[in-house]
Amino acid sequence: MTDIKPIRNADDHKAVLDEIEVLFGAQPGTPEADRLEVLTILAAAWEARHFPLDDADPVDALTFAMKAQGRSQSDLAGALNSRSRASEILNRRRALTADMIDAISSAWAIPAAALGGRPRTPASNVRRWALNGMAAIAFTVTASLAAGGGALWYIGKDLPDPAQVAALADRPDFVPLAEIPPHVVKAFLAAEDKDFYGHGGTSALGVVRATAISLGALISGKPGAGGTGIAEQVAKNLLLTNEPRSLARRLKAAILANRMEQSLSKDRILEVYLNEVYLGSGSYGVAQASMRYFAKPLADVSVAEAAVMAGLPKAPNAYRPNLPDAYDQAKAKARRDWVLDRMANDGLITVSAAHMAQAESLLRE
Amino acid sequence: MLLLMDILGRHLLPDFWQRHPDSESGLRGAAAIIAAAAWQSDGDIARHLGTAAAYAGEGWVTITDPDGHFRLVLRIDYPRQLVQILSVAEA
Repeated sequence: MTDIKPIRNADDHKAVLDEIEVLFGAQPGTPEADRLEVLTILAAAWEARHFPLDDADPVDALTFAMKAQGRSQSDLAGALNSRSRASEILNRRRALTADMIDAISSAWAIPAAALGGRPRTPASNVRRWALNGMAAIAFTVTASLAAGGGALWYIGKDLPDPAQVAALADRPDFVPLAEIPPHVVKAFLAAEDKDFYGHGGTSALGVVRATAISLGALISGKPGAGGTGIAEQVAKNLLLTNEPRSLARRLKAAILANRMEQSLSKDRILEVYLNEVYLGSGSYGVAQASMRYFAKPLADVSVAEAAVMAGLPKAPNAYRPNLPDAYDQAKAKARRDWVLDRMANDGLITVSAAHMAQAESLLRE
Repeated sequence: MLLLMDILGRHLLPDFWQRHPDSESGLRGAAAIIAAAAWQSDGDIARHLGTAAAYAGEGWVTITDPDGHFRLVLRIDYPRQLVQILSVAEA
């Protein structure tokens, strides 16, 4: 094999492609086949570097295959058993889950690997304006908070030691995290703080961010939204028990949550949270709640029962599963089903597992 | 082990969609399908792409965009799992 040279520019690349076209389909074992193999490797390496296709969008692939096969959005709704899901996927408002990819790939013979990427986010003008607006608001809030750093210091200077919360482990019915079933942990993460293990909080910027989130949550009327939700709840429930609801309390909780994440591991904070969170009917923690509502030890609760418990912190008395009124039971079931949907959307359980759990009654007969 | 297809001539795709922006989504979709496939015969292509694909023998395949924005001409070496894009043109 002679005069094969590296591809250094577009002209070299074109010359190699021209030769590949001539050699295409060469008989195996011939010099032409050997040359084709080497040229193919050179060209593929050049193109992978200069024209990567690894940002393939699954919605582009799905849409193209559906049109090529003469299928419509209604067909996709049929394959996924949901019109809204089909619409959300095709409009890039929802990512395909493993279950969905499996269902579509099996039913329509679309290569599963083509559906596994991350859909790109549509960047319409409205979206850009909204993002710019949000960035401006975030900048203003952050700048204001930075200017008020002294005030934050003043609020935070006499707060209790966040490591105190670990003393809760002395309680006789304290359940170590390792003994809490994984689906119970997942249910609470999905419902209360899905980014719990992702967000940190070890810097001054972290305090500002957490404070900004708290401020935003207070303004929006959605306590616990985003940020350090679980750590903040631990701080409020265990360290700020005598503080009336106020912006100062939220700021203190944000500061304490941040300090807690510096002194305790994420697992430890979550462990404390799952043992102290109030879940209605006089029960504190998941072990007490599982006995109270399901008359069984925590190790035996199902996914559906875990979702019932995880739905309770937001409004323990409103979402209790043991209320006799049919309207209250419907509310509790809706809350449980919402948690199960969140778990499925976050990939913590499969969609089919969520559907099976949603089919269960709230309390076993 | 399942070998996915190698695609050569992929530079033709952005060359075309930069001149015809309406074609980008479809071309990206078609390329994603090809790159994720492991076609062994014309029949495999037909299963994935239905009537959008047409066959001229000896691995020559034309894929026409159902929205009419482009037509891809490919040559496929099934045993080597190699696809060469020969041209992208208006449909």
